[in-house]
Amino acid sequence: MTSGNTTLDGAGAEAGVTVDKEQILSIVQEVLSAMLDAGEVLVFESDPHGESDNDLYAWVDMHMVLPMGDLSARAVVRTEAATANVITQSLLMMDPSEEVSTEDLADAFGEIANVVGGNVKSLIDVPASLSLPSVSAVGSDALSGTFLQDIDLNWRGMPLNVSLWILTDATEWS
Amino acid sequence: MSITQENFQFIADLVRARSAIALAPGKEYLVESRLSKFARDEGVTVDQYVTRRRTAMSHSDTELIVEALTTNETSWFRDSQPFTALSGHILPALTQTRGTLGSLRIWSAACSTGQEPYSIAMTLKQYFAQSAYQPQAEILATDLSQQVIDQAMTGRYSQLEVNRGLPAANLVQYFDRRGTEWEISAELRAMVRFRRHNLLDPAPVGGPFDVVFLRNVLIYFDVPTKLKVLRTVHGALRPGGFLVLGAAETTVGLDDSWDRVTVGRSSIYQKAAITA
Amino acid sequence: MKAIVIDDSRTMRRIISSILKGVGYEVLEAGDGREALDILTENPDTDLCCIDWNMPVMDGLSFVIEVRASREWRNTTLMMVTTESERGQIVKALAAGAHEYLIKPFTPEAILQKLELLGLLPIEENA
Repeated sequence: MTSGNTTLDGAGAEAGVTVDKEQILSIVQEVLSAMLDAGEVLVFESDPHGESDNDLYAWVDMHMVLPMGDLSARAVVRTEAATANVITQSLLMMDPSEEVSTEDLADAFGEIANVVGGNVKSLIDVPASLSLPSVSAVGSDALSGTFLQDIDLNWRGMPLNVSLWILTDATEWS
Repeated sequence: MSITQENFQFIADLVRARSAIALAPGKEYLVESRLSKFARDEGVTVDQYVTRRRTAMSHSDTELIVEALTTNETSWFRDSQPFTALSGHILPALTQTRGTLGSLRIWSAACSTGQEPYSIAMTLKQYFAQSAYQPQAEILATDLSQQVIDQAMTGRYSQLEVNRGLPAANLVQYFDRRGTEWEISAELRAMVRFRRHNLLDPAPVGGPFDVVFLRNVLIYFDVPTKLKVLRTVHGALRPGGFLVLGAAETTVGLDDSWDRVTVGRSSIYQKAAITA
Repeated sequence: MKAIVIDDSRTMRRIISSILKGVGYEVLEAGDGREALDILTENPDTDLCCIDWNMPVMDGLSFVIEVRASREWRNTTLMMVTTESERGQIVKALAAGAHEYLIKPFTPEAILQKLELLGLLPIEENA
């Protein structure tokens, strides 16, 4: 498995800001094992899998203050709607037969993105603020800006993808 | 072969009664995963293993099951009492009998990934912080598994691991962040020596020790082996030295060469000052 | 024993509340620091506050500062529960008067272990 090392472009690199695949994997493993799997690690890097017809996207934005200017980045968690349902039912301690409302989904699946994104932000370790999470079924809502890095994962047999994007074009800085 | 609801509930009730941990429905996979090694040893499924236990459960079975289900990874200052006993009773007692402690040797005899020896190191640092004299303190940390020893030697822990039982004040005082992990300070690292060691072998080099921590490992041995290990530890301790066992463990009824030390609910024993 | 769980995420509030209730706590919830201060005013006998950092209206750090500035609430233990895990942030929170700090994500055992450290675990361990 490759350990792709990607630097947040341009000014980010000068600030020594990096997030590599291994670190994203590490964060996701901690989040899912702690919040969903009672400490067992059940998520691993998988072979690449593309988007499906019924994916849901949950994301948070980080607004970072770097010496040479501000930078906004986004962490997106993508998975199939059915998986997001399983996550939601587990977090909200619902019965598997109970119906999952859009609100429940936005809340619970959004919280996963919040904790993943929050940990990415802490890893980068520059003064930064974290937005509230958003959830959407529309890919283009989530996946905007410059693609930075992603990792394809398998959680309990279900596909999951976490991606990082730069929302502000770094080359705009002087 | 999945565990039945009845058997799951039995285990959940057992664990709940012995710890603050509640296993809600949905955690069957956890019970299956954690008890699989015991079931395998008996050549049965987890469900069958539990069914058997429901008819005949020994004290040691209970300990093993609860231990298996309540431990993810080892935590810092596990059970807290032994560490408060270290600074509240053991260190003062040693100082009283020996005067100013020039040296202090502690053996962490089932150190796993290092949380115990490093917790001991933190306790010592804090205890002697206000002291005019700092003893030469050495902590020998051993474990059967080279893998955990190698892990412990890195001094690196994940965020989940440093969440477990470690006071936040200690985290900022004794650790530095390294990427997604936390690394223990060089100062603390210098106090601990890690070595692979089998408890069935003679005591490791580095003694005699003032204190031995032998926690939650005797429960895995049969009675003759327990006795053998306790004899080894007894021999490796200085007269007047202390043995610290796990929360529910005892030498009583097993080995009478120890004096029970009453410090709260801790399982602490002392080797007689005058050897018989 | 009584606790206030302060987090802008309903999901996170539910998770923490459930763990605390499981060990016998009576739990109240707030979505931000301002709401939490109102609840604390009405419940001065609160033993524990679990506080998220990033919240609208009034964030967790500001809440800690307010609470610690008042003699009224000096017996209430304040524990941050947050994704903010840079060393500097933890130092900042402890310096502001937070008693403990739990990093998200956390397991139920981790929160209970923190409570044990603080002497706030209602269930007696079996001898």
